[in-house]
Amino acid sequence: MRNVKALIIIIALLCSALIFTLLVLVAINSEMRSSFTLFNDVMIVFVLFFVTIMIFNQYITRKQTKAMRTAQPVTRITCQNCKYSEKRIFQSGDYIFKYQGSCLKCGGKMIIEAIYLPSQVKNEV
Amino acid sequence: MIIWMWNIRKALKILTEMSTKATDRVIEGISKVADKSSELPTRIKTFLDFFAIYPVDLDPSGIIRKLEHLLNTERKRIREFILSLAPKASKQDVDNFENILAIAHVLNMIYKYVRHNFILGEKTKSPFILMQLEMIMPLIMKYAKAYYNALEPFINLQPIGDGVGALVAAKLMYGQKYERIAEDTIVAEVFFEERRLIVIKAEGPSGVVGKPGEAISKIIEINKGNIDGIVMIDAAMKLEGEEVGSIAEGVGAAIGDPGPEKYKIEEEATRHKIPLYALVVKESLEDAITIMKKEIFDAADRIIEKIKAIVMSYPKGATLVIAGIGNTMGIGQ
Repeated sequence: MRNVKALIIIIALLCSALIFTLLVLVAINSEMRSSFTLFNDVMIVFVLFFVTIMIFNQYITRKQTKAMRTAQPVTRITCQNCKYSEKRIFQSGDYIFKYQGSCLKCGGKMIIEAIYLPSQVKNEV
Repeated sequence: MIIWMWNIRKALKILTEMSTKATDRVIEGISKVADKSSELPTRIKTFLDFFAIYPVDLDPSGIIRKLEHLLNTERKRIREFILSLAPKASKQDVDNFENILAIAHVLNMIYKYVRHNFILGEKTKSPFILMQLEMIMPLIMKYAKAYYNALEPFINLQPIGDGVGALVAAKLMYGQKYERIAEDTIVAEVFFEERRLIVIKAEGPSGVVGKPGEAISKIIEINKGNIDGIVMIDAAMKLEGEEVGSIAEGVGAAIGDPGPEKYKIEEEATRHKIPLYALVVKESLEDAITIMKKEIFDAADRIIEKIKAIVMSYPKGATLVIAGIGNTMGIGQ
């Protein structure tokens, strides 16, 4: 599923880069038709095409880096009796096996069972 | 050559920023518990040049003893320095400052090393120096970024990837009575399927690694050598392409200390002919010093299953030592 999504994004990027390049080319050609040869046209298409792809690539990388930076460690609190567990963002002072009071469901002992950085931020908490 | 210089200069700028920010975080952290003094930033910045001269190895006889003495002195000196700045700091604070001071120290050293080579290349107009530096820069930057990213978990006392060994030991000893056996090291007795397990770990949740070598030596001595096996659990450096959190099994002392602790374990195990088993969780340097990833956390349960399998291969009544090696920051017991 993820591969299909990535493929669609890449195709969309390529198409938009191509359209943008062609639009620029049409604009230039309509201004100074006489001085441009076919070779020049092809060169401009290539340069603009790759510049656009690079800009998009940079944009996506930056977006991904930003997403990674916002990843927050998760604290999982579990009841030792009924195994009821809840997750929340890490809070200062948390540590694994810290007592967290009584379980609201069965009155058992709640402890911090896990503190970790989730693999996929979107799926957690 | 101009492009190399341009690239190195750019990297140096990033390294300066990292080093300065790390130093500022150390100053900010210590200031919270330190006595109000205008000299504090200057003293910390000066202390970042602290060094230890390693013993001469031309005559290796007794080098471990010398190294252990040196490492103890180094640690004592650093802790004394922290306490001189913040006399009211708790043990946990001192442990924490010791760690973040070490990170700031590493970043400062990386920055100084790169700057030294860059200036040397510029002065001598030597393309060889600059080329070597330019070629190795991606690796240097990778290590620097790993240390820089480690600041946050060390400031917030969050469990780090290196603590997976301590986590395994903590899970095994949770709920049992424990006692201190060596500096910052605790031991608990656990029974599993009529086999006796002596579980060792550093005392959490402070950021300490303890003295597992000394602890294992003492346990063997207390039990008069009647130990049937030693299982050591630690984080190990993964090779590129290997999965984070994958487990590997082997033999030997799985501990990444400079030498003395590993020496003690090997020496005692050999003297009493005790088999040494090693279970490691693969992770990169960045994974080891930054917040524990879920993949690493999940590996702890799989390691416990492996330990149980090793324990069950021994007859009933056997005694095994289970040593969880690593920094126990953010992990209680």
